[in-house]
Amino acid sequence: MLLQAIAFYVFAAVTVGSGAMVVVSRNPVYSVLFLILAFFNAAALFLLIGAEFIAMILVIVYVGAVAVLFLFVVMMLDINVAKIKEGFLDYLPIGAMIGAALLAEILFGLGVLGGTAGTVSTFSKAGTQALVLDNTRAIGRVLYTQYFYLFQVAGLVLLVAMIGAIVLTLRRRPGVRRQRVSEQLYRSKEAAITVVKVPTRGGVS
Amino acid sequence: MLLAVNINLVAFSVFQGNIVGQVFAMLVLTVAAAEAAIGLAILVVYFRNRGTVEVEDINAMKG
Amino acid sequence: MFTTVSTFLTTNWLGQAILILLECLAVTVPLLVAVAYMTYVDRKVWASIQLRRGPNVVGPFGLLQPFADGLKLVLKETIIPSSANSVLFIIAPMITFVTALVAWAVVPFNDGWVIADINVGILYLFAISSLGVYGIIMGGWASNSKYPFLGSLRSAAQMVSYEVSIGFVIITVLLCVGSLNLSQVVIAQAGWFWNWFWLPLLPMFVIFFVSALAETNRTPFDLPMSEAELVAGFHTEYSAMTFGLFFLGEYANMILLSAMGAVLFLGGWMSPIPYAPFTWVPGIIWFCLKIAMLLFVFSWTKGTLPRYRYDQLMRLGWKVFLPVSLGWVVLTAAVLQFGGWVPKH
Repeated sequence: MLLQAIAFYVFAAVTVGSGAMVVVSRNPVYSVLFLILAFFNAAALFLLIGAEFIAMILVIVYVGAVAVLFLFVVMMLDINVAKIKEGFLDYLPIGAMIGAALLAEILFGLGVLGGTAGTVSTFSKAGTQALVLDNTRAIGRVLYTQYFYLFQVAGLVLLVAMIGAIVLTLRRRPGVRRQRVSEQLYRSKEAAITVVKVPTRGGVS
Repeated sequence: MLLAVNINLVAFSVFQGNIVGQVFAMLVLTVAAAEAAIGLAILVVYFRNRGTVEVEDINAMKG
Repeated sequence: MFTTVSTFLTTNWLGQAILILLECLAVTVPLLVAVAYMTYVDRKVWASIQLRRGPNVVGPFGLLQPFADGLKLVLKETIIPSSANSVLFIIAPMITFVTALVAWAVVPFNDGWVIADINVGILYLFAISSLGVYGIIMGGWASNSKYPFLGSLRSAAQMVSYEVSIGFVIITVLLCVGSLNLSQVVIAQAGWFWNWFWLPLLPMFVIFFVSALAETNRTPFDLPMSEAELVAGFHTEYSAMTFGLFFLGEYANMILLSAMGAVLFLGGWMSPIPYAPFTWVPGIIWFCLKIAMLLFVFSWTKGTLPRYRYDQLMRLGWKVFLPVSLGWVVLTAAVLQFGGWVPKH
């Protein structure tokens, strides 16, 4: 238990610290790298409280795919974020206010600031029994039954995003030679070469 | 920020013994992935058209 | 004496920590020796393909060659280019090496021989193998030089593309097993060698193996480090042990993906014929033999096939492997559902 507590505080501290570094660091590549560190530590936190499936999905989707794309684009475009950061201090008060409001909401939900603890759980009892099973199975039981339409909508969102990204970035460039595999395979010897009988000292034109 | 939301969803889900939070966390993940793809696509297209992605210079919509 | 030691190791928390450490060492040390000899076997195989002798000077049959190479790498000076980003430059090879090692925690060597028998074993393997790309990207970027950078960009695009099809391959296997636990995956393949998943899921096995070649940046997909165009790709600027770590990480990754192939498709520790003389052989020997077989195919392809062009690589990944694996997932699900073979748990 002690070991778990130590692990929790270490992971949480690194998550928050790297989250801050994402905003503060001047080099965009560092920002993305710190973002990855934050994701990774958040996944570790999920593992600690037993949400193993979400933790793994977080690493696979965010760290393995989304963050690689981010890094890829940030490195290629060579963005100068230092300039973007100029207005950072102007927005700080508003950001702090929103953060404080959200924190207050969480505390309220927990019953620290008045109200009764556990009121949040009363609005949905959908998956309450499901936690007895192992995590992955439990998520599957709820996701594919009660939240099936939501699941379908998530698929649609991804489809739209995919089509959108393709439509936005696709451009036809004239003069690009493409490989046509089927044509290459269907080419026969007769179409490609002609065998010529070359007379001695005559040559062919 | 969506990560923070996810941490909240999962933490509450575990402590309240209700798996729905984790299902929502997954949906948030999906939306974030879609958003990242579209955002980067827009960035790439913008860079291609303007040759720069300085936020200060994004003023083509001004009258 | 023995009982006191065993009770200390299993009950006391310090003892448990020591036990875990010993388990990790018991996996890591043989693994590193295997990596060393993998380089030797690799070179011997290419040599035979090209009718040469390969390393044969250091020690009998050149068997000490890997250690001579290792010693050379350790003793050389580590050069950090003055324009490089030194912190990331040093961290990058470490990431490659560490991610290649930590994934072994969930690989089952025999029935119950696994450091962490977690429920999401396959996802863990998949997640960790997708992290390996960061070492390469960071190394290429931190070198602050054009060839390493081009190599790292190629590598990032390539690994993301082929991970997609590996993901679908894993889903197909999961459908047939009904569990994410790697030991369960092996147990589900019990029986004769034609009951292992390589035969019922043959197209997926082929896709998995080719994607594994692409994930480990091996020929014919070694574009991130293709000598002819990019000098040495992402590790052009690396020297001595920083290069050594990249090299070790690459080979450890190859062995890891072979182990993954052995677990997912070749029945892990199961013996090919489930009857007496074959079942006397310990499971770990069968497991190592299967890994060795896959590794031989890795070397064989490197000695035989020419390198793909980049657009061909992308075409293969997105236009061939992705539709085929997606279709096979649907087909497998349909067959399991309507054939009544859905695994019950």
